[in-house]
Amino acid sequence: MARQTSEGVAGPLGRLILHVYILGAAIFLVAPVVAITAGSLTTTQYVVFPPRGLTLEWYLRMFDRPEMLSSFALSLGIAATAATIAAVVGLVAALAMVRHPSPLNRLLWLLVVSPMMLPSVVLGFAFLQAYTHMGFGSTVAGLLAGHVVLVTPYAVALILTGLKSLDPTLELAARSLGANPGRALRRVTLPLILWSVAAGWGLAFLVSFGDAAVSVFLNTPEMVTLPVRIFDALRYSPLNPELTAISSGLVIVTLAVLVASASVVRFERLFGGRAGEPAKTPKNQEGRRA
Amino acid sequence: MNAFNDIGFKAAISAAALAAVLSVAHPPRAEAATPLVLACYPGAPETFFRAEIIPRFEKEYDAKVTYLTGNSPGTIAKLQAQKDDPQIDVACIDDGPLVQAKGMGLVQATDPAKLPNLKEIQEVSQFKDGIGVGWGLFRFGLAFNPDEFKQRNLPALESWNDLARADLKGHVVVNSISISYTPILLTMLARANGGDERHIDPGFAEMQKIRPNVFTFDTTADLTPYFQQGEAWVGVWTDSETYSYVQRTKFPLKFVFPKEGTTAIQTTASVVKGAKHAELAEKFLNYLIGREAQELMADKLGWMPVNKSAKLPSDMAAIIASPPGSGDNMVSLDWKYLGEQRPAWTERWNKEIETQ
Amino acid sequence: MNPGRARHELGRWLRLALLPAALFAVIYAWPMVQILRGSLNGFDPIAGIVPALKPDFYVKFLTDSYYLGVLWRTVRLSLMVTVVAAIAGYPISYFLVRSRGRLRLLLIIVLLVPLVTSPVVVAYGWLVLLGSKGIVNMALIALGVTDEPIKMIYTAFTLVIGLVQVLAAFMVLSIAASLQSLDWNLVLAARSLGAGGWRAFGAIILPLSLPGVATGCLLVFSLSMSAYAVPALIAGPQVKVMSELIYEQTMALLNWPFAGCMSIILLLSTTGLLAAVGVLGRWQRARQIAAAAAEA
Repeated sequence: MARQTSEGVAGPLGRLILHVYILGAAIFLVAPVVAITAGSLTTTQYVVFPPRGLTLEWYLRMFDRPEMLSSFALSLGIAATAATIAAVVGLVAALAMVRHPSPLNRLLWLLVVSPMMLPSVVLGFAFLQAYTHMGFGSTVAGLLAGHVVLVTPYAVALILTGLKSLDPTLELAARSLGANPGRALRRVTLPLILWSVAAGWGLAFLVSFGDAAVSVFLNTPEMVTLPVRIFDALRYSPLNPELTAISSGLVIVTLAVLVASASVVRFERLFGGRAGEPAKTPKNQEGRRA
Repeated sequence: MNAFNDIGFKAAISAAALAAVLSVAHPPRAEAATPLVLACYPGAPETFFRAEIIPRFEKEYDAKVTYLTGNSPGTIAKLQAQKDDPQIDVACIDDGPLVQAKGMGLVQATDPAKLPNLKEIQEVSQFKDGIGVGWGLFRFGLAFNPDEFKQRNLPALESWNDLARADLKGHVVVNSISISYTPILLTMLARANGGDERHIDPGFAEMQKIRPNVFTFDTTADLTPYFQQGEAWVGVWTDSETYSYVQRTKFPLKFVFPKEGTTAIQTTASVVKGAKHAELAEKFLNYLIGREAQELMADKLGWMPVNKSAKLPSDMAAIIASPPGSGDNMVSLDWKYLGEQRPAWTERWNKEIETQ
Repeated sequence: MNPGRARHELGRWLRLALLPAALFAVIYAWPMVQILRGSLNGFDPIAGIVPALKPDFYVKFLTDSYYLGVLWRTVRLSLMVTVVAAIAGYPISYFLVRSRGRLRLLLIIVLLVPLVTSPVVVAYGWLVLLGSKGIVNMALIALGVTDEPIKMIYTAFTLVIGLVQVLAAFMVLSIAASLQSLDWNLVLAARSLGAGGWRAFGAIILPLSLPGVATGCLLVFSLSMSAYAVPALIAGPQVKVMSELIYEQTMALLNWPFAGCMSIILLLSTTGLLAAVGVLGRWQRARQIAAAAAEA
């Protein structure tokens, strides 16, 4: 019985329609970017789609710009750190909100989620003024703080969803079997919401990595994040294939980083099994060893 | 390895990555040379400064220049935030916002005696209050695609009012009111129709006629995508930007000054009030308006020089149909008045023009 | 709950909530309080901020039909984007959680591409595709549907499309998070009891995934209300939304008090709307619970 896969709800016709729909949606999602990426293969000095002639020249030029590479490294570091802090803050806040019903939770929720309801130009400007006043304006700490505020809402929202969908009796069961709260949390709850935490971290990372608006206010001569560089380059120079190549190259590299880190920490397992199959949770594996 | 360790593992990797990255991203600082912090435009101007101006200046004055990127409002926001403890020495600000920067007390005057190159630049770049100098000239006019015009046998552009011509329907690009070019366009339209900046109604009236021709009101200050995609045949732009673009991409564009006259905006540079390295900042201003820097700018960046003795690149004439005379014969605008009117004009534009 | 227990509960809540609250109080709440304070200042176009304590900008905004119209348009379009994203995204989430590792990863990547790409590039891509010399128009003309190119770009329609594209990932991942935690044995049970596919979906899967849908709607709605890049670049300033007005005041006019005022109004609108929907949800459930209790 445990090995049976749930059949899902769609019959063969339903499945076909679903597949066609997914294909259409996928095309819709990537069409503009594909157009530009393909257009950057053009031999003309300006982006044209369909491209006239094909060349990789513009993509290769990307590596000639050392400031692009150092900005890339900076963006990567800031995004990873901000996302991790956001995930921790999000987890703690979500636990507080779900475990302990209290009117104060409204306020807490508002506090950590409302940043995404404001245009980032407002956030950037506010941070510049306030952080400079507090003494850490044009520093890494300031840039990082701005990013943490920017991306925490996403982590909170997703982790909260995972927690809410969870059956609370599971952890109670673990407690009644003798586990202390910390152990119950780590061994039972966390593995079950791992998808939400991972997705929250991932979204936080991407939003931070791609942010130009907040970073534009908090940048310093040494610390210019990559999207700001690209955004600036695109603003004051004509949209030439070199810059669009950089932009689409950035997309490819970002996603490659995600895929690489996915295999490093075995996201496969974090995603959980295919919904409906017996999940290969760590708990199962531990059980076998014990 | 249980799931919780995975998070710890990720966190450790992130922390290590950040540490490694930060140690690389911080370049070692040079000792002994006087530092100078320059807040200036990003993109092509930044590349130009880093490649041409900064190395020469550093060598001649034993300086170490740091380049902080930002557009005019971003730089002003930073100056405002740092008012009590300025970190920037020289700020590049467009002349429109410069009026506000002066009003807010963020920039200071320089004794003309300290700027010997001042006598070589045209009058419109020297400010009477001694605060700041203009260094790049952008004259307004109409950029157009000559291939499209030839293909469709369209008559040549002569007047600002030609923007309202029926044969250009849907193929004109104008900047949105959030870009500083647009109040100037309004003024020029007013002047072409019997008014001026103090009587702006004819400008708005003409703009209503132009409205159906507008493909879009651009918010990025970059008209090139619209030309490139063939959507725009005519754009309200500046000579420097048109020339710079054509020089770089060889896209077919030409530029013409309408017969009713035109005006110019400038990029300016000022010494920040209370700057830590004010003396060196003044030397930088002087260098920037000197002949060497100005000729380099015209050649490498494609921007019109303000220095009268600077030689222009040879291919400029082919692209820009020059008006009789240089920057000195331009209509000069009362920037302070324009600045005062801008909020009201913006609101009126939002309600009457840039609406559906 | 006796007072001692209540205090104990509060203590445990505090232990968890203190870290996020304190951190955000310093790096977020404090700057926003400054913004609020700043919005009560006056403004002179030349001299800049004039310190004061007047609600003049609030009065200006709330009594001008133009500004209220922009706010209303922002709300309307955001709601549209949310509904479209929810309906269009649900099947994608379903497919996502039902697919295996590599296909799942590919789909996630496809979802993330619009989010990860610079908005300038995405906008340019739409211009290339939907412009008068773009592929879509070329196809329409070739098929004889129309003689002249149709203007498809820089309209409210493009804004909705553009935002749905960029925000789809948030909706899909939220719903997927819920579906993932779902106990599919329930579906098995329902099927074995004779329920057809759609019945199982409607009775079990849909209701249990509602937290995910709610989160997705929260994310997409909030982000639509505050979005700047997509509306400015893809819809153009003729379809003006709140963030563009705020941007205009902040960057072009340097009128930071007015910008702050509009930001506060935007924030209150968004949270107010979400609170209203949340409250409605609660009433619904209260009625259902009361009805169920009455039956029992």
